[in-house]
Amino acid sequence: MAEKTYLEAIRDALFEEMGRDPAVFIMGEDARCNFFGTTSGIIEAYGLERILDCPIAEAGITGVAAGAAMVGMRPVVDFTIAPFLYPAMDQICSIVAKSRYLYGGQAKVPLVLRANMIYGNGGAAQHSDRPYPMFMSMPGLKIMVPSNPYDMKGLLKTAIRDDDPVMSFEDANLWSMKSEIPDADYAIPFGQAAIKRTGNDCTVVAIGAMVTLAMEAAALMEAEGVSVEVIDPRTLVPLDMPTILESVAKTGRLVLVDVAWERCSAADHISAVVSEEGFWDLRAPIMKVCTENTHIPFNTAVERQLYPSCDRIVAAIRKTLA
Amino acid sequence: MAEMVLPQFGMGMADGTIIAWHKVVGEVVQQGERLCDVEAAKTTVEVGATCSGVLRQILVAAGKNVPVNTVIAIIGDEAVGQNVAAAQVPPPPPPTPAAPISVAEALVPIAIASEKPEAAQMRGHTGRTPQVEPRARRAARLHKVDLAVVVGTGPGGRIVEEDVTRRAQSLSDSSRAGAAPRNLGVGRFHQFRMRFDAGPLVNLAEELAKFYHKTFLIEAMLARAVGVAMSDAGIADGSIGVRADDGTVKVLQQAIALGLTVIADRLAGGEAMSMCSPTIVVDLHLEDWLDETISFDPTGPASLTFGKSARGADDTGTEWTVLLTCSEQGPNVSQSKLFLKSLRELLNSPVAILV
Repeated sequence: MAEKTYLEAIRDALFEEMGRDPAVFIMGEDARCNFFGTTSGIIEAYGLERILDCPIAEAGITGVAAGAAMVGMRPVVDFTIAPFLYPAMDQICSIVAKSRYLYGGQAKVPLVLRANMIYGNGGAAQHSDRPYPMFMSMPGLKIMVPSNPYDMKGLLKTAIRDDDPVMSFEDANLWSMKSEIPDADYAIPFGQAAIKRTGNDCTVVAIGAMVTLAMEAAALMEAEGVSVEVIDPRTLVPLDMPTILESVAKTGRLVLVDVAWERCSAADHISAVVSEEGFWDLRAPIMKVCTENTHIPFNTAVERQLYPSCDRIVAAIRKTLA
Repeated sequence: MAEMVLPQFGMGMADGTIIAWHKVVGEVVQQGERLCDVEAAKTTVEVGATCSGVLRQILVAAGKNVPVNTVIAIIGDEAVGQNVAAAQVPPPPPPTPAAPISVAEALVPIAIASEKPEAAQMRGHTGRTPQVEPRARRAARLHKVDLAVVVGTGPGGRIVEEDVTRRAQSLSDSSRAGAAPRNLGVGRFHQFRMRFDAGPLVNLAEELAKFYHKTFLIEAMLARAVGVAMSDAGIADGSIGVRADDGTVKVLQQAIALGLTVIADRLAGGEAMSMCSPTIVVDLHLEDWLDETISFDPTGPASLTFGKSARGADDTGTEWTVLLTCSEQGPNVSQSKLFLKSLRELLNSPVAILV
């Protein structure tokens, strides 16, 4: 056991998987210079040919990676920040997501697209997006949003070993977060939510870094005698709805915390499924705590008010009880 | 302005008891909309409004017994104010000593209303249907509780699941359910007694006999009704035993799935005895009068004993009594209640057992 940060967990997963499987390699802009600190020691260990610096041409990078994946490689593409996925949209949606289906299973695309979500620090409108819900609606893509270093490492290993394309959305606000990481190799299966805390009065499903806020809110509510269950879905595609529905059947109340824009967010999706399949378990309307449907301003004081906060989560929990 | 009288459900009905009012004075009612529940000797019937309008007066409080054709309520014109209407119409004759009663009084006989009078009055005052949480609606369906008579104790008077389950509990505890649990003092048994009119079932057996040109034993009719009721009550492993006069038991495996004609054929034929103990043994004592002083010693999970109700030697009526006795291995108390409730509905209108 060792305490590792979120960034170290990413680096360790990459490093260990490259050692395990020679087909694994890294592509990206400024990958070799260890831009965010996730590639420490990789050149030294595996050489320049397994970590490729690419021009600023995301569509090209993605197309090359998809082709390499189809002929047996396992590329991990570092998009640096999530909005840079947009120039590669056609490659992601038309090629990466669909090829296995289009070729009747003769082609597979074992590809990992990593995207950091850097927001809350004045990144302004073009750099602060948290766009995972856009990709949830595209069949063929698996989506993980790890909430802590342990999950980050275990899920990224599963992603690299998976024969289907996986998008990894990594919240930069968690980079310095530490957790105990086992020395032994481990992988976390997709589609298995983690119950971070059990409770009887209200279920809070929180995505990625929102789990930390939800845990703070749950602790505050406990002081008031309200017992909150916090669930981290860990992966959004596949999504562990049975765990969420089972929790709602127990508590009858649901608050969804999602740092994506509210409209068509993951929170919206989960809310809709619970409305359909868990409606008769509910005691109160489902509440969502998401980001306001507007562009992210440069002014951090304004920006930070748009995102979910502990106060907003507490208010939503209270509303389900009122 | 119209008077609602206590209806007469059959020639033999002389009086009836208002079990519950589902509207309060001042509420708008539509013609046919459920207004109150009336319990007569053999049945409880939901009585609908005879015309549309505003419920102006409730003249017979819930819980009171009055003769048929007694005026029980006044329904006024919705568009006309009460004072205007009163001026145009002569005052209603005083058919009962009961004075017109207030909203609060109308709700008092409801068990839960008396626990939370302030909630009842609040709801009566606004006359607005309270919110119901979804899981309370599910509980109401499950326990067959009418939400109109449930007083909400949740936020803002919302009806919550616990309100419904409490109401269901008080309904099944009261004599209205026609069944009360008894402790036999032998291990953990429970026993329920229920009276019902066997006339419809006997008539149906006769009609079927004419149609199919073969005998439909009353045992077969009862076994089929029991199977359907077991299914309704969610009693798993629905095998039914039918005890013959010589004490042997014919067992119908998976009786819930068997149709009436199959059951009739099997009981008429020499169906083999089964080694396993059936979930419910049906035992008929139709030549005997049955009252609750008779004790039973079920050898299986549950027994269901039918007999004529003890009404006296010259009684030629068709009222029967059924005793359900369950051991620890048998259906639990809530299943037993659901089972008897369903069985009573089936026996009241047995056509449903043909489906």
